[in-house]
Amino acid sequence: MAECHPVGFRWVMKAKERGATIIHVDPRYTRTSAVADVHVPIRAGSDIAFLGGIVHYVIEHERYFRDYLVPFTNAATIISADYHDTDDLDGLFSGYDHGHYDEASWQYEGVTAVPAAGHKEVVARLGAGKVGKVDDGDLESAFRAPRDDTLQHPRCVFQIVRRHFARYTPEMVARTCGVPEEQLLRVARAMCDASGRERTAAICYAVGWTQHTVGVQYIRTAAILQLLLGNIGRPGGGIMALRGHSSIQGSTDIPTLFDLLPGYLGMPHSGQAHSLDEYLRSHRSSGWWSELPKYMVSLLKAWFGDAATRDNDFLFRRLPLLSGDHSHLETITEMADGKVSGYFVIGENPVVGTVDGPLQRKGLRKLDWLVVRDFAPTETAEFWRSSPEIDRGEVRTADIQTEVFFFPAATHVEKDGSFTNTQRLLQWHHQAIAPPGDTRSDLWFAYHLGRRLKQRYAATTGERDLAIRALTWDYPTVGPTGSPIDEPSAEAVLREVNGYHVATGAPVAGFTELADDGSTACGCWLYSGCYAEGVNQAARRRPAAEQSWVAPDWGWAWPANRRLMYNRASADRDGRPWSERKRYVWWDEAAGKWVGHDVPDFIADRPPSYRPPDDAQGLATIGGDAPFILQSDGRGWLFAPSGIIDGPLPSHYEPQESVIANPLYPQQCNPVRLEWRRRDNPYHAAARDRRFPFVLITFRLTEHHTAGGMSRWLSWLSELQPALFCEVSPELAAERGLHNRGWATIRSARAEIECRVLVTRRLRPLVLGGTVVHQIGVPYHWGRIGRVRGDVVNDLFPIAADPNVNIPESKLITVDIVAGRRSRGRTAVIDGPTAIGGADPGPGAVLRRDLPGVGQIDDHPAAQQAHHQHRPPGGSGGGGAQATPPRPHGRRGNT
Amino acid sequence: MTTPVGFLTDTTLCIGCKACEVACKQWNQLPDDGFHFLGMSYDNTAALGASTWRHVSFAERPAPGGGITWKMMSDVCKHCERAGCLEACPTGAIIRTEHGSVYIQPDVCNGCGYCVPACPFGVVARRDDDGRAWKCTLCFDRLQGQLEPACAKACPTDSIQFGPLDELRARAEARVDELHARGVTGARRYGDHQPGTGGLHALFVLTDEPEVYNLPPAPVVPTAGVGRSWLSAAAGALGLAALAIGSVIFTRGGA
Amino acid sequence: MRAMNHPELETLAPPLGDGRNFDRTIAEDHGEGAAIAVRAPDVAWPIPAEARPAPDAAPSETYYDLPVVKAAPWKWYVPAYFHAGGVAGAAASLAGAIQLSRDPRLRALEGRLHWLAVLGEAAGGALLIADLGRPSRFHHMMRVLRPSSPMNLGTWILSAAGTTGALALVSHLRSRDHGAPRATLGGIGGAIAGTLLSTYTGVLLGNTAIPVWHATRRRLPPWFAALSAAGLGAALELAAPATGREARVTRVYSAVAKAAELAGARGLARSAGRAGVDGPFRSGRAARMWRASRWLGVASLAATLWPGGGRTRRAIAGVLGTAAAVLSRFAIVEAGRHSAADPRATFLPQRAGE
Repeated sequence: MAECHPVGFRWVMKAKERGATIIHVDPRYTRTSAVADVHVPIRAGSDIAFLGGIVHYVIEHERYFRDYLVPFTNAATIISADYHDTDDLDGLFSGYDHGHYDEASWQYEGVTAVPAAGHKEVVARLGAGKVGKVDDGDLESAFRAPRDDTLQHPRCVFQIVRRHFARYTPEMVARTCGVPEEQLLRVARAMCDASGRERTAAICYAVGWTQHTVGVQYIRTAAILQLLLGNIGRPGGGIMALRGHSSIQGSTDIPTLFDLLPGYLGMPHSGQAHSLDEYLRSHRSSGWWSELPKYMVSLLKAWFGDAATRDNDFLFRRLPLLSGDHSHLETITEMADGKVSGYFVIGENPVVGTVDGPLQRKGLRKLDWLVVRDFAPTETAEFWRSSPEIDRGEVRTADIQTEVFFFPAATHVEKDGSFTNTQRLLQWHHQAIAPPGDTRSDLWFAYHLGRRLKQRYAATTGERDLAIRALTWDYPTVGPTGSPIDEPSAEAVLREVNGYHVATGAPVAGFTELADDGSTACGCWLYSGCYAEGVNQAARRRPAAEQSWVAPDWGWAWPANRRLMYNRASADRDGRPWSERKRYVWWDEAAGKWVGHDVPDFIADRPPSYRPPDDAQGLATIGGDAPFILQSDGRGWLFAPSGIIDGPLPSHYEPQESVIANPLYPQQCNPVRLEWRRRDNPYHAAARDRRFPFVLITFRLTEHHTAGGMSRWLSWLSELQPALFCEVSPELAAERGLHNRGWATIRSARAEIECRVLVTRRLRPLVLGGTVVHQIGVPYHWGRIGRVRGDVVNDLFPIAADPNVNIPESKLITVDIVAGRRSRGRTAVIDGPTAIGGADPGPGAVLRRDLPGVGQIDDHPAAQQAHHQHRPPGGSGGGGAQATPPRPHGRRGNT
Repeated sequence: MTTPVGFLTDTTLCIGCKACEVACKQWNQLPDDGFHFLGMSYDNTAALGASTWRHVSFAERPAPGGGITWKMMSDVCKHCERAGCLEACPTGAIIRTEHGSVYIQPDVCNGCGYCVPACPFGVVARRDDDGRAWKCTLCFDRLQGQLEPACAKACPTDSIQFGPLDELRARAEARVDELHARGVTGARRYGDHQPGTGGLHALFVLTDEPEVYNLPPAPVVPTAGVGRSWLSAAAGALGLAALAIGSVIFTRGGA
Repeated sequence: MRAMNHPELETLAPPLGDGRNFDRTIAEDHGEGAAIAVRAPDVAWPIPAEARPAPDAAPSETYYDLPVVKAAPWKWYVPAYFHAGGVAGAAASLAGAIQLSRDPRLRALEGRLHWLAVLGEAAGGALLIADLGRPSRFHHMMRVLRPSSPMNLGTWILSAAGTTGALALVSHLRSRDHGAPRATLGGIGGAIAGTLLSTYTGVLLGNTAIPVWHATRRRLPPWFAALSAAGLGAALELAAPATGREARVTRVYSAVAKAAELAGARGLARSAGRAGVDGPFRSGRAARMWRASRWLGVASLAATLWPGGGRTRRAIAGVLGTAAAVLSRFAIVEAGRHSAADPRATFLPQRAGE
């Protein structure tokens, strides 16, 4: 966090000064570790095992916060008798079928379907290549599921969780994560000591957690832990998602994601959305999502204005529909297959920042046109004249037909706009200087592109073009009329995002004013209130000294300017603060409403004693003791009966490429992870194939910005970290003859790169049982253009992704490292066989999903594990490099 | 003269983000120093120089109980009470400002380079292409505009604190006491009572020996011994005169 | 700076610019460092090549073996000036002594010494100006009188020596008809200024933070005096008549000066050794230069003392002596550079309470 969020880390340092214990769990010793009280070096990709170990400790030592746990979570809820855990099924949950889970057996007893917040599973399942289904079950009955508040029922969630994590013992954690038992116990004790009525503990994570084939389950494990300890919805608690860069939170809220509409409304898809009613029926549920029709209709009104009426379903059917997985990763592979003709890349540099650079470039080469908007040329914009393939002579610039348009973009000081960062806070920034030359803001680009499209379609009459013809696109522009800039007003966009009454045009005060009859319009219900009373609430900058410590008058936080979500949980079942120290939001009996330091995240006048009647509908289903109002049962979910594609509980699976066999289950990897089995995307099964015996982990440096497009051109930053380097331990350096400041070549099954060597004790080999695992840290900021240059680290990575969110596993792979610079000639692994270390299964072959890249059924992980355990202990680096055939050291190819 | 002001750099709060280094370059419009991968942890700018007026060092040290520690510190001109550079400057280009800082006037400096070896901290440097000596100005222009120096402003964790020197001294003392009470036994002040330089205007709270941060343990302003040096020069001069006179006198006789 | 506006983009290389990352067509350049003229960024690199840490260097108590203090940025002009100025100062003082002796037999020698002094001082001044980063501002040296700065006082001394030396030469040339040297204002003043000119450079080096210079700051000025005299002696061995009183003066002066120089150097090195900063005298380029200068000095003393008054002997003594004197100046400056590069040389004496 100190590395990548140094400004946010200010508050961690303040907490430390006030006595907080800072624990840092990271494979590398980083700037954060340097100031942390405890640094836990962990094997990359084993976080579920580590957190599971803490969950195990909390449950076995009864350190959970019972008074919070029982009413506020689904710990007491009874689960269907059909459910079977990974413990029973060798690492699979019940309902597994050909790389896909059927959630039917995970449900609450007596309830056919428990909808998760926002119904993401319905669309997300598309990501796995499946057709989504309309769930016509009893969507509003989750709150009526049977409970056992003593937590003794063998099928209650608490007992299921206890049994599930029973095997995550300290010994198992040590063997899986390389974390000594006493260190795990120290962390577990510190977490427990900092939780309860008087104290809270927070967990912060960043892309080190999300970029895995089990990324969502990492965060699920953290959520289980925080719910057990009562750390959600309380000041100083929570799980903080540190976003990858500025306003990435905002780009999820008002999304650039393929499967979401603004405000986390599910994108309709072709198999389902034949009418608005059908869409609404399958997407709403009990709890707060019963309000969904208001948000959807208001969104359609915002987009289509007067053309959207009740009679024409508010033009719902003119929305684009999902027909399958349209994620970035899928798009890339389809581009490579020649199925995509045009591509917009705005403020992103996927050739450097996303996995499998060779495949990305292959896709770009097959486009008709490519638009790149950025501050400076990026490797993505320059792929046609600068790439490893061109260097090697495999591709000639003359043969690339892609037409590339590069648009210089304005920076944030050259335009008005808002940032929504980690803490959901909208902060407005004002233009300080006009964008020079041809540079324009992204808003300018989108607005004028839309305007021209509307001009083109103005004369058409086709029904299919209605979406463009009807689109409201009347943002006023600022600056002198006819001036070349003609910048649309960003405040006008914010005003539409906030929402307004259609009749009067007056801004709504918040989403509670929205209606489903077409009388209101709102661009994003979650942001409703950000322009309340016609005032740009995001631009408020009242100094800290002039307001309360919650600082409600600085910027504006969604939803409804709440600084802490689910803050009803900061009071006990009866609405009293857990303690004076942790007083935040509470029930004021005399006033008959919830009050506190923050805007209460609850129905303002619903007393804690309220219990929904059996026939309750809509918001009436939210009990007075159910703080998690976006969940259909109002509870925090230890056990997720739906919404998570890869299992109701987190289980440790090894990464797509791992140097060891899964110590916990015979199932090696996440059984429902997303794979792209193609010749140009080979995977490597290192647990059996020692040609790539080390783990490579990528990371970011404070000195550079993500794919480097913003920092590699700036010499003040470039001089601070001028070269691509790898961090290796002295042990690995000695084993491979690497010298500090010298060169090293790193090879994976896809590509090879060269980098400088930084030998440091900040990295150390981990010992798992008798196996030594070496991890190599490489920052990925470099590319082929800019003031400082280096090879593209992500060229080494394959595409394999988390099934819930389509985020690729770009944090770790298996590699080999040798001293010296890389070869300059043709690299054989590009377009090689899909399976390194096994026979090419051929196109369309049915493969066991737990055997990445290896099509030999008899090589079962269980057998592999036995083999692994029988190997003589004390093997050298890489967990058994003795299996590696002799390999010449030093430079390769023509040097 | 207004109240003397200065820096207190508390290394226990430093996260090594180098924001100070970049803020300094940006505010003062300093050029980069070229791109050199040094293999010295995350330090690729090595030292303070003519166009690097803040520098963050990264020392990787074994921890007492095993493991490793990573000590980071943002170094800067110390604006010494008795400044070697100022006392050595033959042109009067280096002056003491009303803020108590030591300032090189670029329009006066003729680039003799004598201040460079005269600095016991190795702060001042001369660029061969520019010809003049440069160093931190304590953001003289910002101070004139009632703004704190750019580095202190940019520091996200308040590791770099700016303020009246008296206040900073008291704060450093309290901070070290607090750190000792917390069990950080290695904590110490640096630059507070430094007889050799009459005290510094840039104080530090360190957690290890000064050498770890490349700071001299007991710096002395070189001109402290200038009187004795001149005495021995006088002796040398007399010797030279005696040799001259002697060689003339003792060769008077003969053919 | 926006790449799109620059044709250099064609090469995929960003414009080199001046490393400042701002566009002067948009931004004002009023920053405190905006005036730094930049020809190449690497020029500012603060660490000399020899000071960069070796790869795989074992962890040490220092910071990657990087220097603490910075070496003087002087070029060869400065040690050359030390020699030229030192010889000139010694010449002026010997000329003064001759004026006091009023011995007509030394009149020719006096004339040569005046010339030597004036030429040396003029060359010295030129060398000093050449070494400045901003030579056009050489006169800024005379803006102030700053007793704490040997560089400042040295400028005044050099000016005084130059002025008086010129006066003395003029007086000498105008007194062509008179037989015996006589004391003139320029001559005596020049002699006094000359003795200071020959020694102040020792103070100049001693009053720095360079460990080896600082530790020997009380040995340097007398040694520089002797070194100047030895340099003069060698010069006279090349230039003065081979016989007569002038030759005797030259030989005695030279022999004593060279012996004193050797003794002074020995004392200086020992003194550095006691302070633990004599590394530059023991290994490396500075040590090789130092040792060579010692052997040359011994050889030249031997040649001076060698019986007989042959031209060859004098020429050998003069050449060896000049080489020794010049090399000594370069060696001591080089020693300073090496000493600055060694952080232990800074740390250890300070820890020892030096």
